[in-house]
Amino acid sequence: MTAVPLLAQCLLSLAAFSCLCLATPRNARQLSHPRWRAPLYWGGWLLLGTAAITAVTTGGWGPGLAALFGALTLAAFIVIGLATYRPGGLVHLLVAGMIGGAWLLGKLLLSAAAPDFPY
Amino acid sequence: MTTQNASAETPVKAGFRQTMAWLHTWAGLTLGWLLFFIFATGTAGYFDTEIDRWMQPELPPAQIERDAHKTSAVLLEQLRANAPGADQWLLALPIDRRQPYARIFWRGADTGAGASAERDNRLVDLHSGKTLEGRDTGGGLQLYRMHWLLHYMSRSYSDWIISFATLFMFVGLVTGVIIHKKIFKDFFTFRPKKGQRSWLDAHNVLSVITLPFQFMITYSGLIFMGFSFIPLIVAGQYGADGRGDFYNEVFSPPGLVEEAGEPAPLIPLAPLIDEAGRHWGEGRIRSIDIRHPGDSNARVVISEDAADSVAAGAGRLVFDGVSGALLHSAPSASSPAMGVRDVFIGLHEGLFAPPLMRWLYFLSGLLGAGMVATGLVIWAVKRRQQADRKNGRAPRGLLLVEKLNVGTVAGLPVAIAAYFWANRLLPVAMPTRAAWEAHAMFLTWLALLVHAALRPRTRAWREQFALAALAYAAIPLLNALTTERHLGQSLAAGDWVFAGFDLTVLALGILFGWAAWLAGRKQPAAGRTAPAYPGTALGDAS
Repeated sequence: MTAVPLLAQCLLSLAAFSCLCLATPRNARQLSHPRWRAPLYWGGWLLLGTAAITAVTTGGWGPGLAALFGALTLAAFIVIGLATYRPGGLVHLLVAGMIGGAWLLGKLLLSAAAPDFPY
Repeated sequence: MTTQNASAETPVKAGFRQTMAWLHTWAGLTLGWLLFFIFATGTAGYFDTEIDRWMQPELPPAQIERDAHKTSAVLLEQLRANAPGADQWLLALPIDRRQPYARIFWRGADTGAGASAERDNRLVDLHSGKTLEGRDTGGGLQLYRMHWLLHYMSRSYSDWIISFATLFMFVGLVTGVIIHKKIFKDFFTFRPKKGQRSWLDAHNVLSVITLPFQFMITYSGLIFMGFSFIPLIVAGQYGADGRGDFYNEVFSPPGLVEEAGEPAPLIPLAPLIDEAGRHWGEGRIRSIDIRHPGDSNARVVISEDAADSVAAGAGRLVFDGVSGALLHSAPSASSPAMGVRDVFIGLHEGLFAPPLMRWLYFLSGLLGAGMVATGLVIWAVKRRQQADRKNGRAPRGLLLVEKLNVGTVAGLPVAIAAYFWANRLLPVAMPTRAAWEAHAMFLTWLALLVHAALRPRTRAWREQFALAALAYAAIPLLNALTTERHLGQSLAAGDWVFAGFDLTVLALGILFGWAAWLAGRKQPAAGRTAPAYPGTALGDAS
């Protein structure tokens, strides 16, 4: 079993929780702009949904969900820590999580479309 | 109970919430220290075989071999030489982290016919065919088994205690969700340096972000304990003394028979292994269990490896040991209920988990221990604050809880470190070595409970956390001094079991050092800041 799906879920969850955290009223006032609140909020849920779909399609309902919850726990822990002690880092985490998550997701999709793709 | 913040609620709603808060507080407190022990030792159990290997540094690197033909030939030769006339030969094949070396077990061997022991359990070196000798140790397995056997207790007591602890935990989870009014709104909220408020935030955050894990682990724990917890269900079907029958029917392979007393040659294993390969695919055999080898009623039970599926149950094939006929093919789950049980138990044990997933399990377990610890601390902080406000002396119950908190939350981790220290420091030839590793752990814990009882509260926290920091951070050094496999060597050789262990304890040492530093800081005046947040989420959770 490869670690790529789980890594993808971790990165997507990090990006998702960063979005949702930035969308909270306090952070929206201080870190972004109130008009970003709704897009961040819905973007966060969209990313969470993507992570969940990745989990269930790659791992099935049992291990997939177990993996997803593990990833969510880790991501929430990191995001809350960052929001408390280095709130400025949330934006960086969001960008990094998005890029990394999208890259791994692309990798997964490619290998699903062409199983013999040389990885 | 005291509910100073509940006045803002409507009476009916507050009444329900207050009851739940009362339940949460006392269900959590009464068995909180035990739950902390269960979480700490159970979490270590996610790396049980890795800890096993660290605790036997004499053993070579893992000998994973998926070719059952090759392994079984080596093992069978050993069994023939060492255990003639045995009732049972068991061949455990080294196919993954759970079984890193080939192992043989036998019982009922005939010492008159040249058996080296009536029963024995040995690791076998696949390259040389010789027995692998590691130091006597309880290993990660003993540490992990403590989390439900409680080590010194007989099974009839420990089962009940663990069942109650699990049930209390479940009550704690449900009531916790009920009294937490803003799970989503306060999801990201942690306000440090605000005394009691910070402890509540920490407790909330740790609980909420691990909530799925907590429910899974507690619910599956209840399933584990179900047979001792609800014995009447089994008794109703099998009679009051029928538990043995019940276990046999549900868990033993079908089709086993008594010895016939007539010698007959054991069939070669190769065709049976091929047959198993046709059922499950190649390289999926975990163990080969031979009953009455050399008898005309011999049976060969081949068990499937179920490590890559969540369900803990595995398929089994039962063969006639003389003719080689396939007698039974037991699927992994014999009934839907058994299937559900297997999935939950599989999730609890996490045996299916590949490395990254295993680390997430480990993290969830640690955070769970943190949840229990913060809960215990809140109980004390809150009452300490009330006692201070009244300018009165702290009640005895509060003092007891405070001291148990230090001696458990900080003391138990030191005790677990002592377990590892004992492994390296006790003489290798010592006869009761494995037992003394555990004694060292519990004696250390006792010593730290005494220390906590004698020292002033804040000093006790700081001193014990500092000791924990030292005890963990020095383990890699201890390992370097007592074995050849120090961190530099293991990193260079890519020996991730040893490197991983050393780096993890180092990280734990740093974490405890940080905790010691936090405990040594001047405490913020909690009494003055708390009223600034009247009626907030868990403010009424007492």
